[in-house]
Amino acid sequence: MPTRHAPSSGLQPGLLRERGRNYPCDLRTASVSGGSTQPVLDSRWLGVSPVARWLRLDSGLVIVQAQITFPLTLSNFGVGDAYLMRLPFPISRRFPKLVKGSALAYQALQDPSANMLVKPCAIEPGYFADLPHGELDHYIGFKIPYYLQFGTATVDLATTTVNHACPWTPREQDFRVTPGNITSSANSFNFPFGIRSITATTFDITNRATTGAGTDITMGWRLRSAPPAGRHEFLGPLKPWTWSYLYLILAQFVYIPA
Amino acid sequence: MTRTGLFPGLRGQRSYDFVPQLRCMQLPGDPAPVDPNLGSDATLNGSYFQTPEGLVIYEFELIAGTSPTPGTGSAYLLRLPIPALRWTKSAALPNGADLPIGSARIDTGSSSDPCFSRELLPTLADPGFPFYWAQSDQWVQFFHSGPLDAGTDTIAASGTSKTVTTNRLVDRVKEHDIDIHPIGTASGSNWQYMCATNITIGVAGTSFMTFDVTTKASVGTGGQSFAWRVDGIPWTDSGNNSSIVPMLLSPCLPFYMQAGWRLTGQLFYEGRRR
Repeated sequence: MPTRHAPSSGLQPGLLRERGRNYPCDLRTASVSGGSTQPVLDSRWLGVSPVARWLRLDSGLVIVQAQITFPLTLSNFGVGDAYLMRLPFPISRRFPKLVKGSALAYQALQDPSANMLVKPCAIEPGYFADLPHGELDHYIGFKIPYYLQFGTATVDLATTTVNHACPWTPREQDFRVTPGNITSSANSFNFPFGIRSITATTFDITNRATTGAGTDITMGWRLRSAPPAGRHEFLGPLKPWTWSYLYLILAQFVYIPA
Repeated sequence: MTRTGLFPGLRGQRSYDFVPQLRCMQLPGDPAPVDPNLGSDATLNGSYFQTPEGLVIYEFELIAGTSPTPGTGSAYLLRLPIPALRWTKSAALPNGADLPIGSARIDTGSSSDPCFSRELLPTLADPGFPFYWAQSDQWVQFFHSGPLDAGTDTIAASGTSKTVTTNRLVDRVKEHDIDIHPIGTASGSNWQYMCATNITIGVAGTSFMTFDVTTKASVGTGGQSFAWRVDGIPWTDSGNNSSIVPMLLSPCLPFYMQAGWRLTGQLFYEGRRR
């Protein structure tokens, strides 16, 4: 069992047996087509990341709480389609797609403080090419509802190209663009803005014509894109956003051990 | 008061009623908070159960009565029946983590139209809230994904702008948090593109967030109706509401408390050693 830390004392006075224990919940990447590289999360950073605690009931049911902080000292976020978190005991994968609890992906100490509920789920056999079959039961992943990115762009041309970081090519309906100012310039906006030429890295905001000198438009845009067909639904280095320093994954889930 | 256990098959186990207690908390340096009053006809139900291993399960429901007062402060905190074990405390991070301890939901009430709702993630309260420093393990806070509101309005005949007053929002949103669509078949000079400008933050307990919907030129005779929707992200910049913690459930977020406001959830967590 991955219990490198000494077990803590019982949860309550009077309990004779040890119950809850802390353990370092190693985080790894996995890839659908193989070729993932592993992140280097220093578990000694501030003594807290990543770390988890398990409690096993007499019935065998296992309860896990986890806190994964991407530390300031992190130099390698890893590459792959998913971040997977190590479990204290192998999980029963009888129904791997079932949600096991709740978790929060959180851009802590940012403005905005975007946060997203994600769902812990076991891994199906063969889902990730580079996760050995014998390791399947030892990890849990987090399913995301959508990819999220937002920003502003200055629009002064008929076509303005904006970069995005979505891991897949988003759809037209995934974008929301709202201008933050308007001009009475005769050369400008009689029509709603359009979205076109979406590529793997950019999209275009279009208008009838250039806005004219001194009539730039500050355009707010938001991209919220549900995962496409295929194996994209797990939280990973680029999902539901590009992970950065001090971002958090916080989880609590319950499972039946194998 | 005890009653039959939550798990009918268990003998000798009991669940206990624990009436939910909701309070406001302020950030350091801010004015003292004012606790909410959900009204004399509010619904306050709660029941907990503790396993022999020390696991606590707490279910609760709070429904605001006909004339609630939301209170003021940075965030709502809900009292736990038994203090939780904040096991992530360390010398480096004495506050511990925002550990999830279950699931919850907030909505505007079954009689509201529409009935807005947000999923919430309950975590142990941040001990950075000074008033409860010594008791933070006994309180829970709730993360939400952002403010939510919607409605319709009209730019008057020959007008170019309309100030929209949101129903329930106080916090800051950005342009890309707002959707605006003309209603009906706009024609002639009514067909002018609309944008959101002059987003103004409300003041908790005093005013609600406003923004202007503006067209390039006059909408012509008859005016122009439009629909708007705000589905925001928690922004830290909250103007006059310096005490707002934008990602946490509060009197203002994700929507203002009014009659029928409903907070429900199920928590399970490791009880603190005594």
